[in-house]
Amino acid sequence: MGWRTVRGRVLAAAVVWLAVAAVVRVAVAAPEHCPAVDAPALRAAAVEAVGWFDRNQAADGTWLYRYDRAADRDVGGYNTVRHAGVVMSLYQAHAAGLPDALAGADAGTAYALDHLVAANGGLAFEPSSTRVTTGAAALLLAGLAERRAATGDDVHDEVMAALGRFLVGQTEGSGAVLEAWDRRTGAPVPGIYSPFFTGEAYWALALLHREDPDGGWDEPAARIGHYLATERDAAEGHQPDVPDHWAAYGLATTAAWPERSGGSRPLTAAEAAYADRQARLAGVQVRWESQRTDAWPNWWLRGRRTLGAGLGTLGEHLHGLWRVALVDERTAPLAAVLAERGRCVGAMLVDRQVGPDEAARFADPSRTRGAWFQFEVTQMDDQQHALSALLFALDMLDAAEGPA
Amino acid sequence: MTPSAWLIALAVFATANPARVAPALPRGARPAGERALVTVLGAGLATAVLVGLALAGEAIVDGLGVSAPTMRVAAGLALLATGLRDLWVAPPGPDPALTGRAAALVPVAVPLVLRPELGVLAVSAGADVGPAPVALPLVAVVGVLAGLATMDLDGPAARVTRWAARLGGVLVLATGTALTVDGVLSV
Repeated sequence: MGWRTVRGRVLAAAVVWLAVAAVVRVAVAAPEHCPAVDAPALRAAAVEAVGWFDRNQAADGTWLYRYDRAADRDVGGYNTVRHAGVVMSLYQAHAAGLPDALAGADAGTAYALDHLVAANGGLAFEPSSTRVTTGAAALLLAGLAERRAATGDDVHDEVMAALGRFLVGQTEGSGAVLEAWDRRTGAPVPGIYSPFFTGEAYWALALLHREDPDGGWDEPAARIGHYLATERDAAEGHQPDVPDHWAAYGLATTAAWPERSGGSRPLTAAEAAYADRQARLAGVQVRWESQRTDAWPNWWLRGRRTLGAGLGTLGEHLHGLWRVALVDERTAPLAAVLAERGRCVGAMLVDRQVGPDEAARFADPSRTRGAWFQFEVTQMDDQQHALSALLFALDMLDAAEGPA
Repeated sequence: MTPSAWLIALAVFATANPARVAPALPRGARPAGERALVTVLGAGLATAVLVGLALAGEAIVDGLGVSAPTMRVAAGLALLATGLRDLWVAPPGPDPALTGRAAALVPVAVPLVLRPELGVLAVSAGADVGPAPVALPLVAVVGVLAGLATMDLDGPAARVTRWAARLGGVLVLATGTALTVDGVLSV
């Protein structure tokens, strides 16, 4: 039977149909793995993440930074920005009612407060380096603001204001935020900008305005927000745009400022358009990540599953934009799908977290349980971002299910 | 969040590409009316199947465990490949074919009109905007094909259909690009 017969022609058509279906299925429309997840599972995973921080915090308030479970080896190193990030995430966990989070966060804060340095008219957080980062001060300030909101304790108000002054000093007239302060020169390091510190400073100052409405923090925060929305990616050479979860935090906080939240359009037009663009960046990343299985040929077509930190930042990103969509009518049509993607992130995090049974197979279960690993290694910010994303997935799930 | 119904309708019509299909319709010694009837029967059957896929689009996408934007990317990429083929690969011929009115099945329905790229597009469109933007342009395709089936595509008419087929290929590339970008940049 050859091609030149009717039967051959029909058979060839069938083969083409099957080939197209197979290519579409394997290469493009691979299954998006978003397991069903409920609030208890999300909460339990968040509690496990807090437990990892609890078990792996040193007496001085720092945490195990990087750990290789296969070699049972503390890989060493430390990162001040990530220390502040963990503190912030644990304060979020405390605000969400997770036990044991506050004590660890306060111990981490104590370490940071012991290593404050005078910089640019305020205070910054840097234990050793001459390069004082904007990011560490921003995330420490964000954490202290979250603590203040959750506890009502104003004990750190003066430090918060000093951290705010440093951030304002690092902010240029355009709204661009310089990456670092040089202790040797006593001046900001000119012309160098971080893809993430700008959003961190934006969020931190927006939170500081929320906690201290008369402090004048709204103007620099809004200036940074406008820069992010209109100039940053082009001015700093990011192509495509930076998927910026910190900016999403900042947008959500700004949209909730009392003076902005009276109407249905709390953000400026530029900020709303930026939120819309950011939502699209987040959406495609979640869909792509949810298709990853680490099995061949998927591994070859999609790459290896991302870090816990990578997946967690997606959840943080989506939650910030979801909060914006709840209050600003211009992105409101995205709210439901943002929540759906955010819950998918939560489900993936639950699915990929090391549970007690898996942890027991390794030399040191206390360093393995509750964490997320890639290439047998975990880093403390894997747990930080994942913890925040789990809390936010819980928030979005609760909102979808409504009051009990 | 979803592409416009107009974009999808244009994509369906361009992908069906009646000008490319027309030279391959069974003619032989059939009178013009019979050619049109065979074409309407075959293309109508293919349309019914494709509209059925569009009606089931949401269920199929859910069953495959993919989101509508991901399916849109798949449809867009399928159209990009189709557009390149339409521009660079010669159209199929009329033979072999079943005899009599059975030619409605082979070659009119299969393989000329009921093609996998249209199937993927129908599923995606059905999940996105429902079956209407699939059904209406396909009905138009049936009508155009019926009209072209009555014509002898020789000389100038053959040149016009060749260029129309290439224009269809360009439109398929454009709409495929639009659907792909839209799918990638959807939440």
